[in-house]
Amino acid sequence: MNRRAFLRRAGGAAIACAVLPLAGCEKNTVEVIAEGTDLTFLTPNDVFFEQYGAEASVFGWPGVQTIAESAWQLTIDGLVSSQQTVTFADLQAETPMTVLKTIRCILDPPADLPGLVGNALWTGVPLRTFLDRAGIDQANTNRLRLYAADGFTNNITLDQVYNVPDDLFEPLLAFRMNGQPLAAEHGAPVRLLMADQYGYKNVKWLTRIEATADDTVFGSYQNIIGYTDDGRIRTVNKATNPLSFDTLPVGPNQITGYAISGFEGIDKVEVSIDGGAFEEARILPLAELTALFPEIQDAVQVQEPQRFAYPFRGVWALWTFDWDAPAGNHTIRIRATDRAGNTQTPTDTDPFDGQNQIFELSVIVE
Amino acid sequence: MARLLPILLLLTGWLAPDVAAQAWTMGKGQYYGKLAYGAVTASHQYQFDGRTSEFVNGLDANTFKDRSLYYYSELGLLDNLTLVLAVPYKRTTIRQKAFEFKTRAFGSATVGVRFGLLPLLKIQSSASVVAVNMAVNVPTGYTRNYAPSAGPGQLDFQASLNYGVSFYPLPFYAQAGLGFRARTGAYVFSDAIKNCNEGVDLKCTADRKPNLGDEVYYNAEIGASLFKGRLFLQGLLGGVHSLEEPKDGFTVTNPIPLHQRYLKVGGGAAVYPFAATSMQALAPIGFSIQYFITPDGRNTIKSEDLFVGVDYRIKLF
Repeated sequence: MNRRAFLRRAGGAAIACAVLPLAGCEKNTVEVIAEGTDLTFLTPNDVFFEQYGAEASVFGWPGVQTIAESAWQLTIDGLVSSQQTVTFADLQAETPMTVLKTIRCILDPPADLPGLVGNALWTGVPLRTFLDRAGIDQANTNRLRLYAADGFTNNITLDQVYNVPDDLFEPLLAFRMNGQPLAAEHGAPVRLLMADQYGYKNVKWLTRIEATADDTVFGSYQNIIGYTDDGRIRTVNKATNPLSFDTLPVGPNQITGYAISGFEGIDKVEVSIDGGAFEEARILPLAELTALFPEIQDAVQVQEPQRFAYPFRGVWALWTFDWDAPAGNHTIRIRATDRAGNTQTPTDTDPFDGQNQIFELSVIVE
Repeated sequence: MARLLPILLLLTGWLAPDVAAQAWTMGKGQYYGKLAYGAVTASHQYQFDGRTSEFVNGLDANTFKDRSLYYYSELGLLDNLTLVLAVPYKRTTIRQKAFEFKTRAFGSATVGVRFGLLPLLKIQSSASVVAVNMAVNVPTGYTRNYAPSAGPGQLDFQASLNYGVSFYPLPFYAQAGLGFRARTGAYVFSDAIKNCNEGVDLKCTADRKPNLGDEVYYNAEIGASLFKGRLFLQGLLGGVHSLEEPKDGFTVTNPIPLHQRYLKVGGGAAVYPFAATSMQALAPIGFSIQYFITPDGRNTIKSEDLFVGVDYRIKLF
């Protein structure tokens, strides 16, 4: 073969390789490699998810902070009449409050198991107590900027402290979790607890609060990544058992999961099989939960039923759905709706406010 | 999880076989072909600021695995002009707590040329060579928003200047190169799952077509030819440096790390067991092994890379 002929062939082959799709060889699969999990209403501390907002947003993040109770101080400054330095002893001198609160990361990937979500019994004292002592300038303060020992920042509005809806507990400085002192991974010795907010508003290792008239968005997640500033948990749900691509036996099966909303308590969870009509799942009643977890009777939401309707706002509602499964491949869609009528839509229209589209999983029944 | 899947895009610019000997052109009519198997494995990643963390939180055992096949070839069109063609068959697996994601597909092909610069400049040197490498990375029709994807789905142009020197009669050589990769933003010759409902459909991510940052890339090699050319030993270094600062980590809105930086260092060996023997047909067959670590990086995996290959040289015309 002469050079010219060879070049023609080689060039043609090269162009073919470059231009003609080799996509016929393409294959993409997702396999389930774990078993589904039936959630418990209270998540044990040792399996509670650990997620650090500063890890993905603060340059040179120093890692999990280890702060002794005796060394912890919270400075309250800015638009205050008297700058305050709050110590752990100051907290313990106040009457504590115990609450139920689900921490849900704004991004709880459907493919994660059980995900960046967990529910606990938290104990703390109202933040307002110490803001009052500092003499917050309520006429001019718009936001409270929050600073954590690991460099993470965030903010809440003054309204979120002083105009708390009746069905929410007020912001707490929390120091106990499920009856135990906070672990370092969960913000020890003190973290903020916001009843209706995603995890990133519940700032760990809180060390400074600055009252400011500046009403602009402030916070690591918002300024650097772009997440929503209001932080309110959208109406979401997730099935944790079975998992997508699971194989189930023909006959009676149970689908379980959680649903939550920061706007209102969950009203209903509905399940649709293969595009059929949505049917209502069973939400575990409070009586069942208190029988299983008597300690939740310490929570203000349980103690004041006239104020806090069950399912509680900002606390997950666990649900089950009984399904007599026929053989074949099936698509299961699950939709949650809260008492304010907020419901999930087929697609997630805003990636900055948490994944909150109708949950979907595919299973094989044989 | 979705935020982690496209991290393997970072590897598309990393093709171990082309790290070596980019300063030398092939002789006219000479063909060099190599088939390599790569085992790239990572349990950790470099965060956007260089900190290391687990690739998947809570899992520490080989959560990223790339077991790709590579075809790499050079053909001397003229004594100082070499055609370069390379294409990987990507076999990538990412493991999370509940799911394992696998993609098998041809990745982006590299089509390029290498000019021997000194002959063009009428400079005669028996020891030194200088070459310009120019190439285009072309998608081969894969689905760019699969989770994981076999490549970025867009055209990239790259050019590098490489210098090589032989220390003959000592059995050593060295070469180094510095290049620029333009990420064009031209999403062609790749497909996408339209309207992927990210977060529900686990097989895909949204087809965002991000504007990837241009990059500088570099490589260096020192080597020794021993036992009359039967054994080559290599010390290798390669890296990519995005011209834009990696600003934040992987998130739902930034699932593809737009700006990446990494350094890989390693070593290799090649044997030509039939060289200088009477078995002329087998003489050009070589077997090679290369191993790299990733001692530094930002927005990339902290992987260990092992490549084994077989190569062959022949005069075609």
